[in-house]
Amino acid sequence: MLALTDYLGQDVFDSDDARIGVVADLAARLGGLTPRVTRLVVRAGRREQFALPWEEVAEFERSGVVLRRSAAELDRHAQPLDDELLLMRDLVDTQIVDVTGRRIVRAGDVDLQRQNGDLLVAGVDVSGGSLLRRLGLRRLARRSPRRSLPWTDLYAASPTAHTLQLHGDRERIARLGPAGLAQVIGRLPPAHGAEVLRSVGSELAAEAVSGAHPEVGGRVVGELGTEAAPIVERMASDDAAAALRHVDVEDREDVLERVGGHRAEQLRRLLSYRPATAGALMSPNPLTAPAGSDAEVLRGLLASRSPDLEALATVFVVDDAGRVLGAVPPTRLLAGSADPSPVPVLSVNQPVEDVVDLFALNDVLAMPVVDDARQLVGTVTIDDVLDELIAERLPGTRRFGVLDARRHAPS
Amino acid sequence: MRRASGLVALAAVVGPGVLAGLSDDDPAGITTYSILGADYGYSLLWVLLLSTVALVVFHELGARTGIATGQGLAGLVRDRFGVRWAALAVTALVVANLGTTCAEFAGIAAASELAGVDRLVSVPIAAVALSLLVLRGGFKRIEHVLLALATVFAAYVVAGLLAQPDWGAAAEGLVVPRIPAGSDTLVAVTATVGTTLAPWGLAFIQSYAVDKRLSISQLRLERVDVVTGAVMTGVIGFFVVVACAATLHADGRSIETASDAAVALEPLAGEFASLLFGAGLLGAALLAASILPLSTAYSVSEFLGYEAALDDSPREAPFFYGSYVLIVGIAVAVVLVAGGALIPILYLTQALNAILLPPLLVMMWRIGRDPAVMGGLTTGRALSLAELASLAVVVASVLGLAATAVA
Repeated sequence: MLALTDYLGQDVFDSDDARIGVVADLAARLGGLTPRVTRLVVRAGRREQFALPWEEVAEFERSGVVLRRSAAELDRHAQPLDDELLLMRDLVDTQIVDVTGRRIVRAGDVDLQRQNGDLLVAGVDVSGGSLLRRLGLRRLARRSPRRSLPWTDLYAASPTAHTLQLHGDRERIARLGPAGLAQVIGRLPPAHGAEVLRSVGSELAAEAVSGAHPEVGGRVVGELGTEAAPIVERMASDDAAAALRHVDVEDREDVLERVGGHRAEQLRRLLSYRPATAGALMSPNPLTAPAGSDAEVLRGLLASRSPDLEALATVFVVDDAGRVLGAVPPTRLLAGSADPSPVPVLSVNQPVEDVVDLFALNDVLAMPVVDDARQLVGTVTIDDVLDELIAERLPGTRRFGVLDARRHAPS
Repeated sequence: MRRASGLVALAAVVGPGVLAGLSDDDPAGITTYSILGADYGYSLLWVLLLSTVALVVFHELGARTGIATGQGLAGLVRDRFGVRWAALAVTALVVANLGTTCAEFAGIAAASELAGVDRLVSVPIAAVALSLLVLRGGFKRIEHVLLALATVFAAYVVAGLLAQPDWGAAAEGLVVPRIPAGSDTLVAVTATVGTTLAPWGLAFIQSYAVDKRLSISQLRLERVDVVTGAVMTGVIGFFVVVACAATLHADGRSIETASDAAVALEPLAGEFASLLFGAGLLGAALLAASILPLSTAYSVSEFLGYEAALDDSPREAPFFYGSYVLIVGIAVAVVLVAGGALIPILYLTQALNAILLPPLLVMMWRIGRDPAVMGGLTTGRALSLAELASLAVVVASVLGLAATAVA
């Protein structure tokens, strides 16, 4: 592995061994899994700087860089293209989102790798050692451990890198996956986060927003405005409502108007419940069956549900007025029985702490939530409670991206 | 209804401007203002007005840069000016902030001894309390405590009113620039400018705006916060000057420190005014003693490339909290052990802060004008000129101070 900064400032010689300048930077083109170095930027004088195609480079060593042609044959006016990333200018010392380590870090150096005559950008060095080395403290630097992030696991946050990644690197960005993207949007300025979501498509964007902290989700949804409608439509309603709670009331209404229909009504109803209550936490549309339904009917009901919704598999038995009579968990259905057992019922206004306590006391995966008329309106499931406990454990509620476990499939 | 929601939105952004501004009214600042009032009466109040304008202009720049880039000053300097300049700037900041933190803990010691509590008791208690707050609390709780602490500054307003100043003379001194004869006048003028705008405050407001995750849409309200904070800083300075002008100056007395002023006020403005002055001093010292190590910790983490967030736990951000605790620990040790050696340390610290200020302001100005960094939030022409004018005032002050120091 080569370190970019070891080569900066090294002499550049032409094919006749005449010194023509020093290495100022390297330009690379994004795409595929690793970017490839495309140009050598040479500084020839105080003001003269030009970019030679990488094919012109015969030797690239720490002792010096040698070109294939003589100085007279070089195009001294060529500059890097708009779609090329300048490694020193746009990466070194800029901010990098470490998608797996869930942090934002600063690149101390760029790791380069030779492959069949090409030079590839393998990743960035984010250790303190790279900093010490560049400050001339080589002895200290050797003792500090190296830490590099592979190019596949990072998002470069500098303005130029951001723009180029959106255009030339979409495939890799999509490969970061929902959890990785949740990290990225949590750590970029909201406008940039919104652009990333636009570039990955609403399906993946919905998963990423669901995986992010609701406040982060709210911020990017607010930034996207009505463009967020397809994303909101694809999110589970409790996740969507949680994010929408953090959007300004007027912007939120614009988004909901675009979403429209039954779905928007449902979200408005969820949003009407006070924060930190069972109503705010629940998923609407619980599985319900009239009293006396047999196991076959209930199994059919379960089969009609999306297979991804594993937490919402409890069927609630209700009377004609929609009041809860009992719950049939999926395990009992598998055993062939449809006997409802008594279940504690939550009210929409019940504080979240009560909900957590009731789950701790009762050995259930889901509890029904009823409105003031005692009618069943939703379910709180054990994973909602887990989210709540995680959020509570944090000193503020603003630490981003920690709620990776919050991944519901769209309903 | 509309107004109520506006106030709620404003309350959500308040913090960076108020805290960074008021941390400039630290014991050293209060001392400078007290001396200004005691020695020159109302005649140099215009300097305070001038430095308040400079404070508004550069704190706005810091907050705007933080919002536009999502990065603190130290990180941005590394990004734009290279790792060597950043290393130099951060090293100077750490040394200067360490010295200033010593000054703040010395202020806590002096203020508590006014109330008869020995520094061996008050300083360690304050240090442990501040460290626990920052280590254990999340962003919101820390902000609430610091803002609550800032209300202590109202004590100066009351003390100023109790001193029954000559409002006409004060108003005149505020708007009519005059330089009374005397060899030390220039020192007083430059010290006032130097104490109001401080390197740590600039680094703090930018990092804190980032940590608070203010968004571009909140910039308009954040400007209200910045102006409020700077004006409060100026108003408190005004009341300190006025309190001392109406009493000590009228009586022909001179003082060395702010705690001298508190003691001297008693026979002239009453026991209550003296008590308020002392209480204000303690609050000012506590606030600055928590902000300074925080500003340092932000700068160190950003330079090293680590995330600096008060919502992180110490285990997640060891460098951030480590530098906070280290700075507090060293400052406490120096204040408790060094004794007489403290005075040259404080003197050198002030000099270092003064030397550091102009290059830092130039870098901030350049960053603010760079569309590649600021995107759509680059400094406009009028504001840029105001920044340059403020910069000129600061540079003139620093040069003036250097000239008097040499002479």
